Parts: sequence; structure tokens; C-alpha cells
Amino acid sequence: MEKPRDRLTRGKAGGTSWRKWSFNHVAALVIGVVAAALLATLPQHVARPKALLGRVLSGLDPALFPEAILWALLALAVAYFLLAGRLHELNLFRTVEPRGFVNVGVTIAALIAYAIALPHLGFVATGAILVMGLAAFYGNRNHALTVAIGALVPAAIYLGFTRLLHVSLPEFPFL
Amino acid sequence: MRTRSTARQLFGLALACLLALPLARAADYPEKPITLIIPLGAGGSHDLNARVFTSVIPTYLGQPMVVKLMPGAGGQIGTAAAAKAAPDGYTLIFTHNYIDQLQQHVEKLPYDPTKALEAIAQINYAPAAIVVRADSRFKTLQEMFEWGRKNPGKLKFGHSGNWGAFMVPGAQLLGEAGVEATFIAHKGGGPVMQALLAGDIDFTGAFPSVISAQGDKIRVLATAGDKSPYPGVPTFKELGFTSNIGQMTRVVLAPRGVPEERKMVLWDALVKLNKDKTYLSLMKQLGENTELMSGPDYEKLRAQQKEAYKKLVEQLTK
Amino acid sequence: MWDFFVQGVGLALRLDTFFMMSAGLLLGILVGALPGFTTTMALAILLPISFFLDPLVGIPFLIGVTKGGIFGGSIPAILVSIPGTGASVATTFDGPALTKKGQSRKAMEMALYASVFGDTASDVITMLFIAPIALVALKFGPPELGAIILLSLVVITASATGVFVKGLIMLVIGLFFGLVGQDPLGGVSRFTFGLFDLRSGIPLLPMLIGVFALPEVFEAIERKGAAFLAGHVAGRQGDRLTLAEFRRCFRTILRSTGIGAAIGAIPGMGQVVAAMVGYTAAKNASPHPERFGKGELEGVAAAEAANNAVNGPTMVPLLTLGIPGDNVTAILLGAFIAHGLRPGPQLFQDQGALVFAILVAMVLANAMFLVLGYLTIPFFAKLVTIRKSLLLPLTVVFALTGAYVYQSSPFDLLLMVFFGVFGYVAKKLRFDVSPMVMGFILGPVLEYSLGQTLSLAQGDFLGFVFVDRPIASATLLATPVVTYLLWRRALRLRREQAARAAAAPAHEH
Repeated sequence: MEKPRDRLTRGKAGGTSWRKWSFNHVAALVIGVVAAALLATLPQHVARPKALLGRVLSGLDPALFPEAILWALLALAVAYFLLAGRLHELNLFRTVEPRGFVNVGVTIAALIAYAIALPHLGFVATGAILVMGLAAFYGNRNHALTVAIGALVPAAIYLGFTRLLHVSLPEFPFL
Repeated sequence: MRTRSTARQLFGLALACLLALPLARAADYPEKPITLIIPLGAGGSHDLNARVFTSVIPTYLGQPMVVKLMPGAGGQIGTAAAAKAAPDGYTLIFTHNYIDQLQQHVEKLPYDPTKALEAIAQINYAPAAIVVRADSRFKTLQEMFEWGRKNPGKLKFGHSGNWGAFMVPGAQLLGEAGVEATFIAHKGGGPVMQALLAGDIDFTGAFPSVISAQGDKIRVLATAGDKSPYPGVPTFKELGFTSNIGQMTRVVLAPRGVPEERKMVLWDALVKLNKDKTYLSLMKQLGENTELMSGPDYEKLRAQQKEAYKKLVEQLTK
Repeated sequence: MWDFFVQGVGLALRLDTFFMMSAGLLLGILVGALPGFTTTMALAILLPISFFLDPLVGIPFLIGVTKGGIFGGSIPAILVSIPGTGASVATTFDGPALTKKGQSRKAMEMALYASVFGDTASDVITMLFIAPIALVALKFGPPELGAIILLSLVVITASATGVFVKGLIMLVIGLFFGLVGQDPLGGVSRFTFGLFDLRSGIPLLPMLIGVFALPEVFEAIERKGAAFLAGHVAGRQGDRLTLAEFRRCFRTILRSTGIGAAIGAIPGMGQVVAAMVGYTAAKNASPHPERFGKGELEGVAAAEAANNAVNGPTMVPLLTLGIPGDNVTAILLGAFIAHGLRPGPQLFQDQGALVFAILVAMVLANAMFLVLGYLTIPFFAKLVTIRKSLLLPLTVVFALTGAYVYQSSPFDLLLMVFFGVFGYVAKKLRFDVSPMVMGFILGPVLEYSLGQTLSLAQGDFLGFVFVDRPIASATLLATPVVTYLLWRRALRLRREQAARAAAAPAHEH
């Protein structure tokens, strides 16, 4: 249960390390750029309010909140950037082994594939494939158990939701 | 041991699939549960009506009707899903006239409601009434509108949501009477009634069930419909308003192209439902009528609505 | 009033009431434990059953479902960090960390006791103060709601873990996500980027599941493949809650109950906010706020007591004014009127005994709740002891199912994955996502109430708020004071921590 500790947790503020470029600078930049881009293109993102009987439908301009929020985000990003040199935090991505990134990447790809396949293959089949595939990928070697659980659990969820709870889930295309 | 039993299960599953195939014939419709999309959230009057009729109709259909709540974007999300569904009679939508026919005039939609959907039946309708707090200085609708004309923008009209069941009739009335009022949106009928009771707004709309629950706390000024159910309260028509204002019709639509015999199965079940004692008594308790109308009849009404709402939106937003 | 109460007790003590209430509780716990399946959906589905029952059986049945559902939602939150319902979001802050330590049973027991206590106490408060609560509910219009939300946002942001500016950024990002979809007042589309599915906005549960459950899964698979073969997320999950632990958390439970009941009395806030505020308050009051989020039992207790304490007061507007404050009470209203009872001032005068019978039934339901929850916990605790290489894929399937059933939309699955990646990156880069969730939930309500207030004020905003609405103006004036106090506290804590670290550097391993 050992956790990687921050380097320089007790680093003196204003010491020599404050100039150091860190992930916090990058994060601040990314947030700031996104906020600025959204602000610049704001009219494209907010439809024009409708007038009703010659009056605006609501007392509040629909662009007001977005504008305020984005300006606040931009200002905070600037502040964050200026403070970033004084934050001595460890970027936790550095603790991930390369194999870890592969694992996470494959899982994310599997999730996206699931979302795309669900309406076409139905809930049970997609769920079974996902469980079996991920279990095998994560290193489960008891294949009989994997197949059994992969087939039964999605089917049980499907039956429970559709029959008992009357919630519809995508069905088998062939049933 | 374990592997073998798994293999057997898989074989059994495959067998079940094969056996199920020949069953899927039109004559046996419905041979699986029917999905009923509701383009609104749980707990509203629409949900409640749907719960009542889906709890009784399996007796006459031989299959359950499964409610699928798809709220969002003023009903557009659920309607879009229904419009995209296969016209096999297994996906229906329970919606109302404003979502069905008005949305197309105020928003760009990814579907054409008239082309994509057709009516199976109108289940019932609810007449909206204009109500004020019992201690309001306005005793009649004309009085209130007269005051509103003299004080443009001062009259506060609270409604349950944009282009919804109270906002549309309210806008129609105000438009015809030439009154400028402040529209204040609320999230549903409950919050707007609370705002009325708290005195935040001057008037709002309400349906019969809510009006009877509030008793003497509120006063009805005028109501939709041909005949007023409230003693001494005039209808909009009696007050000289011309257009057909304030009827919210609750309808079942299907993706266009469902085979004729399947539509008949559904209609027959609805006709039988409309004579069911439990159904009738539950609807009566809810304060809803059971004015069933056939799909073809409703299509005529739908065409009229389309034109009327188009004109209304043009008038209101010019 | 007293007569009504005595008659009510008589009416409520029935065997069939008891039986159906227990059935409702059990169903609620099971259904609440299914991710994505909210209490509202469970109620809507079970509502027709109550049509065919006596009102004093059918309504307690539905109340049982509500209570059970909120506790049920905390089960997957504790075990696999999937909030079963929105109300259990704050439970995911400490629950899963306890599970990793092998203390899931302890955590679930704490959740149960805190839920039952919060629920019972709030029911009693409701019975005693039904008239004042009704008055508060009526007095809380848009300006008051807006002011309260502003205050909650400040409090929660100020107490976020980690660097303050990063907490603020997450809050603002949450506010931004809340903008996506149709604007609450005028219905115009904002930030939908041409996607029709985004018009209805970002759905809450897929976002919560993505942000809280997926990063846990990703972190579990970061190590090499070989680590999974023998791996279990946690070993035996047998540890029981001790009396000493319960007693240690009792102050927190009391505080959360008060917060939950107060928030329940305000229409438009709800369980999610109650749980978050209750959790934050516990963290602020604790001498060890740094332990929160790392498996602190008090955190579970705080969240669970608060979200259940909402239940009592939310019934008040329904019973006294006939106005449902949220979706759950809207469905209960349906159950009432299907029986020919019309909640509202009329019902309270004519059938006071019945109203009190229902309130008494709510208290009795809690006793059953305790027993049923106690019996189901060991079963759930066993679930997480299965091998990690199977538990994780199953968790993923559950998360996906939960995200899907909420609105039956495959698009929501992609949103969930997006928020999963977002949550994972945020975690790695040391951002606390809880302010984001708060901003997301409260932002639209804030905009809505501000817009309504502007319309109500008819041009004279300041005059309206500060002259006509004393509650709103008092809350607004209190906000800077509270901010200042929290800020000073945060500074003091940081100094203390620095001093401690300087004094005993060798102690830290």
C-alpha cells in the first residue's frame, strides 16, 4: 500500500525550485487555451434567445452565464499558471509503468467498442464479449469460469432488468 | 465437469434461439413486450397516466408494455428515438400535442414528426385552466387582462416550462388579448403552483386534478374545453377567444409504417381497455377523462394542430 | 394535533402494512444497488402495485422503496465506487478505500446505521415541526434558492482536497459542463457542438459513474498483467463495525442529520447536495481532514446520514401544500390521488390521522430497514472477494449498464467513457473532482433561480432581493463571512500541518 510521495513536500516557497517547469504549467496552459478558444467562438456555441411578443423570453441572457464562467476559467488558469511553480506535486502519471498505459488504453478502447456495438449486437452478447475479453486480457486463466460468468451475468442482468423491472435493454438481434 | 456444464448451457441457449425464430410471425403480434417511450421524466402527469394504462393493458394485449423514460430537450430526445425505431409495432411513444407538433416550429429537429410518426390513438385530454391565488385582486380573466394592458410587462405569468402545456395556452390568450406580460419559467407544474401560492407570480395554468387538490386556496378564472367543469367559471370560447386553446391531448404514436393488422391489434386492446373497470376508476381518481380517439381521427386533428402552432409561433416570435 | 398523532399510530400498526413495507424496503435495497437505476425509476415501476392496495399499505410500500433505495445505492458505491443512485456520490469518496482495506462490511454497516439514524431522526423532526417546515418550504422561492446554492458552492469549494486554485478550477469546469444542452430558462441550445444527443445536457449518473468508478478500474489495472493472476481487490471482508467506532462517528451523524433535514426542507436541493454538504461539514469539523477520501469511516457516516435525513422534510410540501418537491414525491402524489386522497391543505384538515399514520409508518419502516439491511450486508460483502481479473470486467459491465439504463441512450456510454478518462487524468494530475460534480449539479439551478429572480424583480433586482426577500439577503450577506472563516481555518490547518511535518520528519515513512 505504499504510495509515491511528493518530492519536495516541504520545499521552501520562493526557493530555487519555483521556476521549474511542471505538469501544473501544462495543465494550466491547456485549460487556459480551451477557455480562450471557447470564449472566442462563444456566439457559435450559444444560440440566440427567442423573442416572445416582442420581449425576450427570459430575464437572463443565455450567453451571460457561459461568458462569466469562461472568463472565470481563463482567469483561474492564469492564476494557476503563475502559482504552478510553487506547487510541489508529483505527476502521478510518472508512477505508471508503460504496461499500465497499455492496459488502460485497451480498456478504454474496449469500452468505446462496447458503446458502438451495443445497439447492434444486443445487451447480452456485447456484455458477454466484454467480460470474457477483459477477463482474459487481465490475466484470468480459468477459462471455463470466465465463459460461465461472462455468459451468465449479462444474461441475468438482462432478464432482471427487462422482465422484473420492465426496463428495456437492447435485445439480441436474432431473438 | 464445469466446462461440460457450460457447454451444455451454451447449447441450450442456441437451441432456445432457434426455437424462438419461427414464432416471430405477424399473426402472433405481440409476441414480446412492447416498449412505450415517454419523452418526459418520471413523476409527471404523463408518467402517471402511462403507469395506469400500462398496468392494465397487458390483460388485453397478452404482453407487457414496458415504459422507457427518455426525458430531455423538451421531449425531443424521446421523440427522436421513436422516430428512428423500426415500424414493427414494438416501439411506441406516449406523448402530447405540444411535443409532437409544436417543437418543430421552434427548434431544428433531426426528424419530421408528421412524416416519421403516425397516431395509434388519443388516450385522453386535459383542459388547462387559468388560476390565481384565492386572495388575488383579479376576479375575472377580463379584469386581469385589462390591468395587464394598462401596465405592460407588470403581469407575472408563471408557466411549467417553455412551449409546454401552460405556456402555450397562456401565450395564446395573452397574444389574442394584446397583453404584454412577464413570462416566468418553472420546472414543472409543482414548482409553478408553489410560486403561485407563495405569491411570487400573478397567474398560472393548472389541470383539474391539481385544482381540486388545492381547494379554496386558488381561484379558477377561465378554462379550456367546450363546457366548463367549474361552476360559474367561463370557458375561453365563451370569453370570445377564437382559437382552440388549452387542450393537452395525450396520444400514442408509432413510427410510420406499422402493418395495418398490428395497428388494429393495438386499437382493439385500447378499446377494450377503455371499458375496463379498474382502468376507468383509476383514471377517475386521477381526475383524467378517458376520451379515446382513433388514430385516423386524431391524424385530422394533428394536421390542424400543425397549422395552428405554426401560425402561433410565427405570431409570438416575430 | 396530538389526537391525530394517537389515531395515526393506531392506523399504522397493521400487519399487512408491515409486510408490504418490508417488501418495499427489500426491493428498494436491491434495486438501489443496481447502478443507474434510480429510486425514482424504481418507484415509477412499482407505483401500479400500490394502485391495487389499501392506501395505508400501498403508500408505506412506496416509502419503503424510497428508503431502501437510498441505502441500496451506497452498496455499489462502497464496493466498486459506482454510485448506485446520485445520492450515494459522496459515499464513493471513502467507501471504496475502506473496501480495499478489507473493511467493506464495516463500511456498509456504518452506512446502514447512519442511514437509519438520519432517516428516523428526520421523520421525528418532520412530525414535530410539520407546520414551520411547511412555511419554510413555501417561503423558499427562486431568490432564496439561488442564495443558498451560492453559499453551498463556496463552502464545498473551500473544503476541497489539495490546492485551492485547482479546486476552484474544477468547480468552474463543473459549472461549464452544466451549461451543455438547452438553457434552463429560454430553451436555447448551448455548447452542443452540433450533437443532437447533447441537447438534453450531460446526464448526471453516466457522468458520476464515469468520474468515480472508471478511474478506480483504471488504477487497478496499471500494474503488470502478472499481478492480476493471484490478485484480489481485497481479502476477507469480515470486519464488523464496533460500538466504539459508531460512537466516534456519532457527532458526525448528528450534524449530517441536521444538514440533511434542513436541505430536505428546501425545495429543489435534494439528496445529492445534502450528501455532499454533510460530507464537507464533517471534513471541516474533523481534526484530521487529511484522512478524508482515504478510507475514513466518518466520511461514509456523514454522507449516508445526510442523504437519508432529506426524506422526512421532503414529504412536507407534498402533505401540507399538495406540491411535490421532487420526482420521488411526485410519484407518491400519484399514489395518493389514485386512492382518491388529494394531498394538500384539505387532506391535512380532513384526514390528519391518515397523514400522521403515514408519518408513523415512515418511522416504523426504519426499524424494519435496520433488520433487512443487516441481513443483506454479508451477502454483498462477499461479492468483492472474487478474483480481480473477474471483478474488474464485471464492474465495467455494471458501470456500463448503469450509464445506459438511466436514459436508454448508447450515446451516454460514450459520455461515461469520456468522463472516465477525464476523472482518471484529473486524479493523476492531483485535481479533486468533487467540486466539479457540485458545480455541475448546482450551476444550472443557480442560473435558473437567478433568471427567475430577474424576471420576478422586473428590473429592480437589488431592491427586490434586499427589501422583499429577507431570507435571501441574509444568506447572501452571510456568504462572505463564511468564506472568510473557512479561509482562516484552512490557513491555520496548513500551518499546523507544516509545523507537525517540520517537528517530526523522521516519522513519515
